[in-house]
Amino acid sequence: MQLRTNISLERSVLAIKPRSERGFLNSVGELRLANRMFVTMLALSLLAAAGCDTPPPQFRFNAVELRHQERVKLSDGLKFDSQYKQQIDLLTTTLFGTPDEPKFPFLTGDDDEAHAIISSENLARSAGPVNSNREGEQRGLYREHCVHCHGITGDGAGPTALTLNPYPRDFRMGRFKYKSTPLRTPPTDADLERVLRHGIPGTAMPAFATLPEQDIKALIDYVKYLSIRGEFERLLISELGALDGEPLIEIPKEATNGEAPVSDALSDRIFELCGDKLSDGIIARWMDRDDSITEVSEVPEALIAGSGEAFENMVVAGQILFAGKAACMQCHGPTGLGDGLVGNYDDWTNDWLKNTPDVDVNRPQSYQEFLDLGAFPPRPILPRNLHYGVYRGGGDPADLYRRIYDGIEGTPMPSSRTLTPEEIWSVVAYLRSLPYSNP
Amino acid sequence: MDNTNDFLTSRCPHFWSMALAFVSFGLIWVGGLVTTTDAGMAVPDWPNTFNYNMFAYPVYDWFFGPWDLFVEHGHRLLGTLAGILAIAVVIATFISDRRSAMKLYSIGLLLLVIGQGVLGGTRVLADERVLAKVHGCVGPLFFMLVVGFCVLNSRWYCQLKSTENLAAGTTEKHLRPWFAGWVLTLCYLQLVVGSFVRHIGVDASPKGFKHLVYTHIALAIIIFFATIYYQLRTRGERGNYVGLTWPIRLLFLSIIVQILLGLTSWVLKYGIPVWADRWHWTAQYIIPEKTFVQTTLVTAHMAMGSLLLALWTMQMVRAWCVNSTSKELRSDILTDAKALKIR
Repeated sequence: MQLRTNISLERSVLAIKPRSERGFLNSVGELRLANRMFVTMLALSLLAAAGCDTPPPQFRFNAVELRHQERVKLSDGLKFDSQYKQQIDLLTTTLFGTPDEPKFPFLTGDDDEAHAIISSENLARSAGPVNSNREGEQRGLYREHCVHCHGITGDGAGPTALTLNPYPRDFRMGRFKYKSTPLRTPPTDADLERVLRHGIPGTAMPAFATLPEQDIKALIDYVKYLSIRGEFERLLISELGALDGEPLIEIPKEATNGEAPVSDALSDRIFELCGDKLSDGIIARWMDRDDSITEVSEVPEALIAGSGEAFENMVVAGQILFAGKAACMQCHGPTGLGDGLVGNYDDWTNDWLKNTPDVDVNRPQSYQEFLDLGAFPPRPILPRNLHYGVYRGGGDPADLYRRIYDGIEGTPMPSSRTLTPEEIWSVVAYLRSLPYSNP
Repeated sequence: MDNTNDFLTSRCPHFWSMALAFVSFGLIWVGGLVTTTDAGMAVPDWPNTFNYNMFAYPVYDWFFGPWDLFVEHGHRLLGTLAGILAIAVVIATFISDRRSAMKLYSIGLLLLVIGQGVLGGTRVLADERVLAKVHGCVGPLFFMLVVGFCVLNSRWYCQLKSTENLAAGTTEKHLRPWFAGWVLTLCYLQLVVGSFVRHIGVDASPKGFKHLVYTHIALAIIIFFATIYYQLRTRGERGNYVGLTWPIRLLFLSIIVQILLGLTSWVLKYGIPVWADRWHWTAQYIIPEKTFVQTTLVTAHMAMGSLLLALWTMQMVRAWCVNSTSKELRSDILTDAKALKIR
């Protein structure tokens, strides 16, 4: 009865009001809705724009290393004079340029032997903002492919770094894990190319398999450039303690605060002052690396076969070495599950964590100031579970041989130079048998 | 049933606005591809393309040139098509739609699409990533507004406002359009956060990025549960309104797909999360940088975000229309009843 009354009432209402008046947006509420939608979303878009500015990126000063040196070389919480930071900035900028305009200190000009390790053209291709020309030749390769993890300075502190495990590599110590050269020797271009092309399994380092050859070469040169620049900066910082308050270099005040460009005379003096440090030490290491490649003896036939009595004998011998002379068991555990010693840190963390007085990994407040300066919270480095059969530095016999013989730079994995080649091959045979055995 | 109404004399505005919506969604895909492949600066000039008039650029060079040029130039051409369609929408609306607010709405859309084009061009000329970020946020906003426009000149809307439906709709509906509006706002906020993640500056702080990622995850969870809540609370109210039932179902499905795409995008871009790094297959996983799969799925995640916005817009506008219509009727009925009593 009620329903019938309602319907008749509606009809009477409809008869009074034209339908067109009921159209959308004739209703005040609906008009408000449209307005609100528009204004809210526009406001959110403007919010997205606000608070963002993009001045040209600059290389970040290695403040963690400076603080580390202060804690090591000065007492009672003293700090180095702030002029040193300005002087180091000036020296590194004069010699190495900026992220948009990098340059390499070819100390003797066009004849400099360093041209063999770094090409200015490749630096130009890798540096600066991302763009390309009509032929598709890419520029700004480092910012396109690397910067978000490795950071603009190559300090491994790119925006995404904290969310990745392991942390991206900090190039500034000149240490690289997977290479064919011994400890404390830089990797060859082929080593870097291999990592770039194939990536590193189980990490955030992707495989840039689709990149053209010239792009890969350019990126390799840029990584070497960042590494040498970072090593040089560290070298300057390490020398501050011995200066006893004297300036690193006499520089006009206007030049250090950036008010005046660096004059040619000053630039020459900087090259003179720093030339030997660079050429005799850092650059020489990179120049000589191809001569240091670890030779790998011929792979035994039994290992190539991967089965048979000879192979089984090698496996047994390798197992004994694993637990004994080679001392692999200590970290990788008795069965290679990676369940041995834990609580070790890599060199990039130990650099400020282990080697600084009064810093204890178990007391976060003791190293908070390093975190505030940009260091990342320490993460223990875990020994590999060898049953996975996945080796980050490559799974070929020659790769495993080198990992055992040379160790892994920057990690607790030591070099085992006391082992004979036959013994190393036996350990390799044992490693290659692990994925097929029960732990 | 007649598909038009007193305020809408033809289906043309709906046809053109739907075309605009489809092109806008395509534009969002291609725009996403521009970001994913870092092709934003593949063409350094604007509005020209390598000194050619944009429309006169040789088709052969476009199709068979470098990939990033193909994507960027295609994005520009598609953007132009969206502009032309927006003009068609304005013309059709002025001819066929008597509602002045809709005429204003169509002009607003045209201005926004022009502004978006200028924004994209300025981003190129200034080589400014912040503008790319804003450009990436305004695109979905435009798409959303076009979808809202499509709902308001649709067959569904005409039927809702038809005499028969008005006569039949006697009970007040509680479809919680305000709630849908809040979720829509959250979705947009989520898109803005996602845009920050995608366009992160080269020297941005790692802590900032980490917070952005956590915010993105938290918002995804909130939106997921809000969708379930909305679905459950309005189930009875939606009743026979088919137009309110399928969008929410599609929405629910899309959110699940979107979450899966988000997880996949992370794994394809940044590897296995820390907590999942304990199995054999995760230990051997290598990120396939710049491959077809990575590019497509990462872009799909971005495009799906815009689709979610569109579906929530549709849901909100339709819920609001049904609610307000039933409220109108009730107030009319009450007024009429009072008048009868007085009489």
